[in-house]
Amino acid sequence: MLDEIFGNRTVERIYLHLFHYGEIHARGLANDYKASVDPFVQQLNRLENAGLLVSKTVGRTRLYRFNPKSPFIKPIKKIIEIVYESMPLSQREELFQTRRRPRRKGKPVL
Amino acid sequence: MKTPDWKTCTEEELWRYVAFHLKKAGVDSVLVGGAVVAIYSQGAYRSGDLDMIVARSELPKVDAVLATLGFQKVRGRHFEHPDCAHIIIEFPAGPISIGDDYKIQPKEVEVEGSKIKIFTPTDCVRDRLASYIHFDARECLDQAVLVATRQPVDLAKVKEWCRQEGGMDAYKKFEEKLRASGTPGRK
Repeated sequence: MLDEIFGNRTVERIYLHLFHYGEIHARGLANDYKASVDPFVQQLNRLENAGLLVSKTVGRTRLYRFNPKSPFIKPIKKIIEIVYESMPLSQREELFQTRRRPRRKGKPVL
Repeated sequence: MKTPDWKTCTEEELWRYVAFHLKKAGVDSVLVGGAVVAIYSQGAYRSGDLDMIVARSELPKVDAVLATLGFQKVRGRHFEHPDCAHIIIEFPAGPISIGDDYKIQPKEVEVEGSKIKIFTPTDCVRDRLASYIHFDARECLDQAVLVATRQPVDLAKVKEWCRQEGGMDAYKKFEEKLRASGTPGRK
């Protein structure tokens, strides 16, 4: 199980994005990291099969989030929180610059 | 053990058949999820799938046993039988847990001398409420009520678990519906 929870650099990126945004899709991750989408798809599937993430389809997009029913999620989030909080604010702003929270349609971005 | 009628079998008949054969091969399994509701509601709800948890190390044995029973692995951990179009079997990742509670004691059911395992009615209710609390799945609230009106359920344990899970609003709704149904099951 521990190999499924931890894994590799791609998994770390997925965890950090999920911790920051709450939910994420493979294309968004690939765009934010300017990387290929395939490794993210592969790892998202793997984490879902391990019961750590859950997903749903919205339109044509598969959205993933932590599985709140998994007993592993609270401790995993604690670990991610330490990594997240120890990152300099500038690094966080750079990594998570894509705005994903609700925004009224048509409202300009300044 | 008698082979079920593949075309008409219930979740319970299929579970007993598959779990019995897994047990015979030395694989302990626990039935969780919607199929437990189907069983405890005596068919008032049909899930159309069996979610069975086994130890990860036993998955190769599961593949072999299900193949001998005529099942085909379709993707990931899903199995289908060519003659049984209405129920699929899945082996989700463990451990057996309900929210943060992973110290689950399943109920044992004897089938032709073997003991097979299933969530207790109380754990089935907690499991359904977990989906209502975390996924806002209203149908799961109804399923929890369905089970609690037909089976003895430890409501104090359900309430305490809801409190720990941050789901007291969900428990209140569950209690209201149970009261409205007029036949609350209590242990």
